[in-house]
Amino acid sequence: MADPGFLLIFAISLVAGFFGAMTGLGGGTIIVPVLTYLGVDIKLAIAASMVSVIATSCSSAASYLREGLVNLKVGMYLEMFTVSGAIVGASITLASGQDLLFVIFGCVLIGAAVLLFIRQRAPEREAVDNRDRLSCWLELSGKCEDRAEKKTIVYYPSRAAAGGPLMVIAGMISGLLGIGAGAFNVLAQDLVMGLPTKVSTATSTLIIGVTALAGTGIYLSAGLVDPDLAVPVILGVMLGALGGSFILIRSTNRAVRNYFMVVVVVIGIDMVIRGVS
Amino acid sequence: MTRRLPPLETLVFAILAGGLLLSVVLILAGLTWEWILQGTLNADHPALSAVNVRGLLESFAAGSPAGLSPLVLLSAGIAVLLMTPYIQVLAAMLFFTFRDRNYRFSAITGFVAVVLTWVLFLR
Repeated sequence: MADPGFLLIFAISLVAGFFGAMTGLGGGTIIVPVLTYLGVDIKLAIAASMVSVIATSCSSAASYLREGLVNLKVGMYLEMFTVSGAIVGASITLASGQDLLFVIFGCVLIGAAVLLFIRQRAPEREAVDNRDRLSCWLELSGKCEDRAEKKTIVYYPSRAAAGGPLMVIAGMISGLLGIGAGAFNVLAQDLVMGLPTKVSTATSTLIIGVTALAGTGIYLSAGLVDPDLAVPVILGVMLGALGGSFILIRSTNRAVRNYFMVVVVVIGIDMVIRGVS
Repeated sequence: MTRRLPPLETLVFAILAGGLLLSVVLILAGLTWEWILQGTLNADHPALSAVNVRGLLESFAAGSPAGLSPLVLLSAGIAVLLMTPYIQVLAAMLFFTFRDRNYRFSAITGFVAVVLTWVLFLR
């Protein structure tokens, strides 16, 4: 395996974290392909990225909790499904060949970018009380403050029975590729369970940390967690994500974000080509 | 405007923020030590050998096979980071069981805790 050196990995992770926060796809989606360009084994890159997801999750979830945007009950209910998926996903990675991982990674990158692009254009729906029996039984409803409009929004998560099993797929993608899979988490919570976008984004940051932990356990026991790779990736992605979120909150120019999405799609296509060839 | 967080949110916030801070401090201490000792950060450490988190923690308890070294601090930083969401899940389970007496969520968080315990300590 090539050893790109601490400072180079740190610098790349910093950019990846920034890039990941700007696109909303997370640092892992960028750092894994870039590390493979440098000659790092894709499984080692996935394991290092998985550990960095825990760090970014702790940092963002703590900040969203302070804002009162995380629905802990929804998060903990969905974690049941994502941790199971992550264990399956990470086990598949251990058993898979590198080429297959490149192809899957590329397809997921393209899919996630397209899903986020579609979601950006979807209007925010009004909160409707459309609860199924499971959602009522779990008492998942919550409220959050809309600072822009200075009002409290009460929301009623629905279709918990469908949302949970869907999250197994999000967990599997996370464990398989060492990414947070936040785009898939948020989509399931938004479209299926009807959570407000801010709440689903915030709750997703909590879920991805616990999910990544389950995947990391598998990689750790396979001896794939290399401190020389994991440490600069953890520090770089976390700092980059902080910077990216800071700028994203203050940025009103959606075109910049869309430009980054195009780059992600290009990386995805390249990963597929590398896997196939 | 300062808003008072509910107790469970406060607990989870404290665990996540505290765990992350401790982990980053340990990692930075390990890196600083390595820099002072070797003048470079490009040391070639072995991958954390095929162990689970229990093995990692036991090696610290035994003083680590290689004695106290920058690698021990770096590994401790990674171990603390891994333990942070785990402790958060355990704390939520205890909160739902003893404080809230919400046994549905005791069972849900209990399931997550059992899966994580298996994957981190028992495999």
